[in-house]
Amino acid sequence: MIDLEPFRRVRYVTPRRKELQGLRYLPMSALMLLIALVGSHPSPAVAHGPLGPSTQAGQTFGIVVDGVLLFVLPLLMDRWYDRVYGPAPALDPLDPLYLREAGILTFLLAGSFTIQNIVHLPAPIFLLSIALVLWVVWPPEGTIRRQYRRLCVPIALVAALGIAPIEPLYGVLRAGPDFAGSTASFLALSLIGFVGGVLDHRLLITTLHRRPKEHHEATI
Amino acid sequence: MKQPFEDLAGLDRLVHEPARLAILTALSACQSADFLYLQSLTGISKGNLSNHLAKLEEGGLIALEKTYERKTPRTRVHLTEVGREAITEHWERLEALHAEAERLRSAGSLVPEGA
Repeated sequence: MIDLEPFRRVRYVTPRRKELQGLRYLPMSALMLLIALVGSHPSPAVAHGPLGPSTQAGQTFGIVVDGVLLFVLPLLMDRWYDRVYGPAPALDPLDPLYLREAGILTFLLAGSFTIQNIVHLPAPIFLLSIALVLWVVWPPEGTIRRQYRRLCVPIALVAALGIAPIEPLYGVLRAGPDFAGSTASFLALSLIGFVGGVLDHRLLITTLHRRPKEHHEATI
Repeated sequence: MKQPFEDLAGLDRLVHEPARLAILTALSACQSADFLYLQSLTGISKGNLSNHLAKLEEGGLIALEKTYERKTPRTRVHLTEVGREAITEHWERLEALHAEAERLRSAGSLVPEGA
């Protein structure tokens, strides 16, 4: 019997090639991670840290570089994919099932972040709840869509490191008056962006990486 | 009574060949696709891809559109209405067969040879 898996990938990847160029989002998630880390250390520990007063200039420089990359990298990625795999296919209207999934996920994540900013759960608990929401909401069926459930793993792992507590992450994840709810939200979002970006890129490459075979039998 | 895999014999061979199935599957998920994109999806040479596309065009399942982009020739491929119906029906049959195989496996009716 024919192996359906490559065809499932083709079906999934074809209309979503632009969206699946995951590495384009890494500068954005790196920038968010930086903001989350800076936001969780408003105390003098950073302002007068080991790097001294130059730390802030370094952070500003990092944000500027990240901002530039944010615009440049998507262009470079587009050009690379077009050169290697040809121009992206012209799309039909998006799959309603995909839109429904994306809508539910966005609604639940936005809801979680809003609740966090009101209730101020300890960061590890909030991150665990985000991981749980992703695990429960994301459809478990299908070999392709199921891969995004892996997003739960790094989030849960960071939460577990915070609960342990293991330095230096514990310092980032600590609950208390200095720890704004939005920092945990940023942290979760940046992790989703980073890991999701890598998973997207991997899916696209594993579907499109095959090299032409000169002696393929075109029978039947 | 109809046998579980009787439908296999009725599968359209023009559609079912793996490279052509990949081409038609990709085209069914978009309005049109570039030759190079289809080549990367199927992993076959330009010559073989051209042969497959010619067969599909001959069968009335696809249409080819040749254009120039900055002096570079580009070939865009899209499904015809007949092609879209054919690939949709083909996947429905494959998925029905797959579901039937799963059902028989869970019922224990499918026992591998030598078991």
